[in-house]
Amino acid sequence: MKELTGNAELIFGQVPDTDQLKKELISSFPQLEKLPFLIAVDKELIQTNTPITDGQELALLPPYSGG
Amino acid sequence: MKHQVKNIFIDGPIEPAFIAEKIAAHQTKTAIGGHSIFMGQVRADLMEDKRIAAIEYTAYTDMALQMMHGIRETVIPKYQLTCMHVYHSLGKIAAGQICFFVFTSAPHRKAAIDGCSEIVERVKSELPIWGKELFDDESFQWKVNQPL
Repeated sequence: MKELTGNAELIFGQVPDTDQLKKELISSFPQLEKLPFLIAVDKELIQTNTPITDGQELALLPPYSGG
Repeated sequence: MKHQVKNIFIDGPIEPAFIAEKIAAHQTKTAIGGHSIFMGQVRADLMEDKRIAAIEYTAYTDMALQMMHGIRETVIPKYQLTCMHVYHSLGKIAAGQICFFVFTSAPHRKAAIDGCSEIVERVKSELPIWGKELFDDESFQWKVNQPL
């Protein structure tokens, strides 16, 4: 993802929820649409659209490949 | 029993001597009747005309440790393990070196073996860890885990 976006950290303005975040990410980086990724909010994976509040840590996680 | 969140990450490869020390440390725990050990080793896969020279591991460490803690808290009571130890490398690990070490102990073999197997599968599928496969010509590709 860092290779696609050119950055390990991305800064966005106010984004109300994770669905909106996904939309903004894909509009800024259209290649992300084809890349499967999960979103974690404060180190917890989210399954459905989740509101984002100030100061939360968001992470985009491509498929894991540990071990 | 609640356990504290333990670090599982080691910078660089997991040395065989480290594994031997861990085995030796269990000689005083005489309720144990069986140990099971899994070690993951970096494989020099061949892709067309180039070979994997190393895998560079990165992780979202805080989240991975939190997830590992949850796994530990469910697997220990499920299999009645006497103890379990998990280590995963970060950074560049050359082909042939050990990058992942799971060690479970229980009074009887089946619990140790089944517990070890569940931990290996869950670490590979649930922990935010990524392997970048580095080829001998300095190109790379992202590792994709096999189902088994």
